[in-house]
Amino acid sequence: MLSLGLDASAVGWKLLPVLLVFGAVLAVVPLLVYLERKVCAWIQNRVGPNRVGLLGPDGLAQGVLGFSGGGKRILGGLLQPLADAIKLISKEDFIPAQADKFLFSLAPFFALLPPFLTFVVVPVGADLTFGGTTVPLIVADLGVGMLWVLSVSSLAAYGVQLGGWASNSKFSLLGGVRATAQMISYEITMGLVLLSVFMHYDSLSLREIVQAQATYFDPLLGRLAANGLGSWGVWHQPLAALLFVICAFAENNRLPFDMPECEAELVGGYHTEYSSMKFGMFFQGEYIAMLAMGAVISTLFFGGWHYPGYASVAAASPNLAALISLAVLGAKVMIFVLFQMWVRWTLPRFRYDQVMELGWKVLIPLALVNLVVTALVNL
Amino acid sequence: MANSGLEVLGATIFVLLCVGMGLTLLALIRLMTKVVLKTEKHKEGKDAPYECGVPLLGDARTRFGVRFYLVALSFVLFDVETVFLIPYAVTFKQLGREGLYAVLIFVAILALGLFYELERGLLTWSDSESEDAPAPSEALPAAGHGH
Amino acid sequence: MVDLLFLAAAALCVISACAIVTCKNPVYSVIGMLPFFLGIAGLFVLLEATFLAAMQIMVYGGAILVVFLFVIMLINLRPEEIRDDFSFGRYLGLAALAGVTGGVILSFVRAGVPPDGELERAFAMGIGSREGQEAMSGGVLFGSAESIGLTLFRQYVIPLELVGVLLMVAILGAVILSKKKL
Repeated sequence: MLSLGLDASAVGWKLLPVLLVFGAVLAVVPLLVYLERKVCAWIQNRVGPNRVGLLGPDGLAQGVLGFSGGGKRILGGLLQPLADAIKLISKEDFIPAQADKFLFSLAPFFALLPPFLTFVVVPVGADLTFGGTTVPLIVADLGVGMLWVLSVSSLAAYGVQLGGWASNSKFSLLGGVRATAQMISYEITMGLVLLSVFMHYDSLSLREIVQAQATYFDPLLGRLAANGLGSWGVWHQPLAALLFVICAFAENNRLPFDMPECEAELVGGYHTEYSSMKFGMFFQGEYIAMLAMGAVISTLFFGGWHYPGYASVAAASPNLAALISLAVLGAKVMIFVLFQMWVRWTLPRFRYDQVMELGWKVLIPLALVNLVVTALVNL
Repeated sequence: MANSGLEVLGATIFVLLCVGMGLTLLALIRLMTKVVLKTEKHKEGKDAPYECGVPLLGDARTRFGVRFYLVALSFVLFDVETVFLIPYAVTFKQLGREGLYAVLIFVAILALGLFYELERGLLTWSDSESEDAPAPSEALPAAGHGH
Repeated sequence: MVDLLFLAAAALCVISACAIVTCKNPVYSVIGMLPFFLGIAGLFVLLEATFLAAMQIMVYGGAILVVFLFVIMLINLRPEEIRDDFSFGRYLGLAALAGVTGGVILSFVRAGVPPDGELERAFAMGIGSREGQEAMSGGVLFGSAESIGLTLFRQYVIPLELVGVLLMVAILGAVILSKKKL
């Protein structure tokens, strides 16, 4: 039996990473919505949302306080996510009569939950120290580690599948069925890729994986040196990193894999019939999934929260080093999120048969080959 | 793992937080429409599923292509393969050559299955295989061909 | 605390199992299986079989349920096709469930709850073999992926390959069943 030898202070300190991660994800998602619209506008040579802001001729300060802060719009559009949220929540939550009411309401919940749960095993920073108590910045350092990510992401298909089926609309059903088939196809590759990652690090724990990326072999010194970029997983498992990134796009149903939505042929895909904040929950889920994939990819292949010079900062002040590590992971995740947006607004969409053939005929065999080669190299 | 109980507790709290947030959000949405806005009205045209404005053609609950089902079935089989390979991935250094041979045979058997399946064209989403396509009355027109 | 968690997971299992057998709509029954599998995974975690718990969610929760949903959508029962005269079977199922649960509780009441550590020893005996014991004594956590890997790839290699053959046969079966013309 599992033993819970808990004391109150340990549980209290555990709440710190739990609330930190939960709050950070909730706070960043609206920013991502704004960022996506801005990035899209930049790429398409437009201005993007620039009205609903704090300062400026049509900012919040002008409306509420009568203070315009000069004629220039500064960070105009920054409050756009807030305006979007108010708009969505004040719309009618319409459940079509022909829909399965219970499952129709449950589906957005299933779309939101799994990407959120991914963050449980991601180490977000170095250990904090408070008067002799060490607080690891990870929600739960589970023994199964990455297997948690695998099992949670396998639950992600329910949101689209149920949403598509419960709507009782043809477009929704097609979108849902396509999405499910696509997600499960790419999940196999993801699992196989993770196997070779386990082999390379010889561990399942994401904490240990981050630690392993803190050292590298320095050819000049002829010995192992600390805090290098050379130990990043991406240099040792380049194929695995590439395959994992492709699978991340497919799992999140982002372009070029956005078959389930593809406005041009399926209207809105699985969320055609959804309105109000329930639709909002679907797209929030998508942004959380982008964040989660960014966090997992940075942790597995790009050193996680580790940064060059960590050891020297930590020697001076462990807490400062931990705070910097939080920012470093945040920056890495944001870079990946921006990459996902860049790809979305640059590449055209695959055809459905191309998606499935890529998954089954190219990615799975490549992942198997990568697995065997990793075993041979590391044995 | 310093204290597995504590970690499980942390995960449990996080899961409950997320579940609570999701359910609260759903309840809020419902409450907003039912109590605050009171806009929920059902009309014939509003209730109809979206179909580009043309009169509805049949029901959405029709049968769809069998290929999707096959993809799902193949997924289960390869998922199980992954499950058997995970214990190997974490112990392969201790297992050495014997373990490698065992895994190579295991993977080869399944790769043979995958090859056969692909060779039979089951995962090929193209029109050339019309002899397997379900009769038009059984399937949605676009279900088997996504373009 | 552990007892509380056990009770919560067990209650989740029993309630969702009841929901599975009593729901008329097969899609609801399938969705009812999700909390059931999560509850089972919770029980595995409480027994420190964390690998098994993760696989329970991944294979049953993530893969098999998706196939069930696909099959049910493929068969596509319309509301009017769902039989209303199903109620007798429902009560029979409920009665069987109550009977089995009662029997298990009764046997525990008669035999007494096993003392602390007894169940763990029983599990350890199940591994039984010399290699298994070595794996366990070699600092490898019982129930972890490592201990399973050492046992599976040392002692049970032939069964493992047979599982591979079985999976391949399943693929062939799927191909043959779905093709009108081979």
